[in-house]
Amino acid sequence: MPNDKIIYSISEEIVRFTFEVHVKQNAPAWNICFTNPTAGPWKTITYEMPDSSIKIGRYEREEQRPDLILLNKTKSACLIIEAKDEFSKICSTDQINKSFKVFKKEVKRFQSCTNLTNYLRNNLCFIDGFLWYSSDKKSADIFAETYYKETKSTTPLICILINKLPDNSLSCGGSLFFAPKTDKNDHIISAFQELVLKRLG
Amino acid sequence: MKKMEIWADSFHEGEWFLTNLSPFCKIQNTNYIYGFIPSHTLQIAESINVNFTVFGSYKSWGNLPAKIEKLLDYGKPDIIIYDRDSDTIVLAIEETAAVPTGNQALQRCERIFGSAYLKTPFSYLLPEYGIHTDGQNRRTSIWPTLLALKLSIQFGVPSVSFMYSDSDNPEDYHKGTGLKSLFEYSYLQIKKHLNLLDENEKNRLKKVLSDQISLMCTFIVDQYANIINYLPSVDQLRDQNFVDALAQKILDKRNSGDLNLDTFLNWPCKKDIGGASPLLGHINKDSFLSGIDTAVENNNGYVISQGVGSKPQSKESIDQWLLSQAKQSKKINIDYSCPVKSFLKTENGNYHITTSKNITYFIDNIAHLDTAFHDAFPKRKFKLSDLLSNHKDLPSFLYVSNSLKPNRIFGDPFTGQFATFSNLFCFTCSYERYRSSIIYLPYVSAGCFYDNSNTLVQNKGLSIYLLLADIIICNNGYVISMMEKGRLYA
Repeated sequence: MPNDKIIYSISEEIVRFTFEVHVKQNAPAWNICFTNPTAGPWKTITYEMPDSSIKIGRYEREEQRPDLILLNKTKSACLIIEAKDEFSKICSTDQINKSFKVFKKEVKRFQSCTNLTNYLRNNLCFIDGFLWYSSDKKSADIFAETYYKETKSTTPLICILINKLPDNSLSCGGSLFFAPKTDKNDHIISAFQELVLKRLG
Repeated sequence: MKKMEIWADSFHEGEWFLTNLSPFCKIQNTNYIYGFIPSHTLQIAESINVNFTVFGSYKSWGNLPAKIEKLLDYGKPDIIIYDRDSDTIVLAIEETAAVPTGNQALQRCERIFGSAYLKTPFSYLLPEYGIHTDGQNRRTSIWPTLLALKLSIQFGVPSVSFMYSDSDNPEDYHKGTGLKSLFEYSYLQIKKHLNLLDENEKNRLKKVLSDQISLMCTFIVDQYANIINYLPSVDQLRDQNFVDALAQKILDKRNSGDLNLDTFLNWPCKKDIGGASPLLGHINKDSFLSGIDTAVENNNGYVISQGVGSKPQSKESIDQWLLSQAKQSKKINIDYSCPVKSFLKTENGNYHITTSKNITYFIDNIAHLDTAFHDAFPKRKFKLSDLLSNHKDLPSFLYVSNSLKPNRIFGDPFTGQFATFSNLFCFTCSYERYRSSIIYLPYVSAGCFYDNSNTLVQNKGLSIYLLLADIIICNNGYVISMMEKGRLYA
């Protein structure tokens, strides 16, 4: 079928998968340890290496889970992501609090994972991530302000926006935010740059 | 270059399928259309490449083929291989990582039925052994495999179970033969569709399929006594010559000479099997089901289940659901009545909603159902037998669902459960009805079956009920005829 006959509407599945493809093609320093596709059987969190893998955890059947977990071993950074197909779904008080709770649970999991090296376990920096479809670049700033106000989090935040270009292809842009009154961390800035996201705004 | 499409619940499942095909055909290149739609080119035969485009998440696409849309009416298979040039579904695949036991075993069976009904080859990849929520190792249920076997005969298209894992390695994809066999079978089916099979491969496809059918029969014989206390045709299933002939029939889509399947896998009447039939009893007493139990106690029917669990619910949930059911009744101007005076309370303060612990009954004669119905619902001035038209002289199958939450009856696991039981217990291998099929829903208002303009709702559950049920007895004895496309008898 010619590409111009392919007609799609944005869904959470498309938003999440677009970012996964971007990471695999452009950000080799980041490893996707977990993805949560619609109705998928994937329930393990694993750091895959060329010849081996490290098992980090496994979700119970009804356990709340994020949509993506990425690890950048060189930069000792872990990005935990909630994805939605539109801004209004991600920027609600309920969703923010639900995601914040899930992020905290995942941080504990990584910090107590004995399969990781002591160094990585003790030095891992966590980044909260939110991913949605929007052509409004300002929505990232609005979200960051709402997020920090609602959660009082001190964790760095990455907002990733999926946007449709005139030729119907999707592109990934992103911004890094630090919590109010916390110092900017060069290590995190460098890890963010390795995501190779287009700058917003 | 030839192009094919992989439609899937998610992009990952589509890519998982193609990755697992790679031992049989080399992936030549991969790109992502529009930055996200996977497009893989595989060398499927000497100098022949085929491009596969993966469409993840069915609801997102304006180019969803009508044939796939129709198939989805009966539930969503995980993966569908489609050729747009010939408008053909080559194969539908369901795969699960969870061991199907109890209700869950039947959860996906409406898809198995729907695919066969629409003459679509279907494969189900499931673990033979897995860890249950209670932490114990369990072996999978016979129902999906038994249904697949019968459907393969009924509709002349292969519906095949592939099992992976073993008792020492539960839920392990890489143990057992299932995963490898599924992908070899899928690869050969794609090549068959494209007319690319050489003689060796034609023989190999026959071997893979007949071996799989043989494994299915062996599994059913080995496992049935852990699930049910009676299985018909068990001696035939044990006979390797019969199983070989059966595989031949499924492969060649024609009746193999002397293979008589008139009564194969037909559940007989009580009068023909004799012996006592142990009832499991009830938790909350229901008048209609008490009458049915009496018929079984008097040797006019039997049950085959070996245990039904109860999932107690909170008072808040029960009150809310009963209120919603009552609203559904009001919508179509009928009365709602709670069929039990009070629900049995558990030690931790929740309430059982289960009525009979049997969810399937085989009754030899509809007259016994008429009597139980009249005694339980004296306000209804019609007989069930009068609504069954030309099915009234057949023995009856009664399916009971204690579902209380509004509209759950149209979803999992009930539609899969009913699709399996009704097909196995009520239809011959020629897909001719040998038993009437009646559903009893003590808590469900008949109003749930109609929308605000008083027409039948549309969903996968109703698609299954319209095909496989004769009548549905709802709360307070209101009856909806599926034979008459939703006519309400009040």
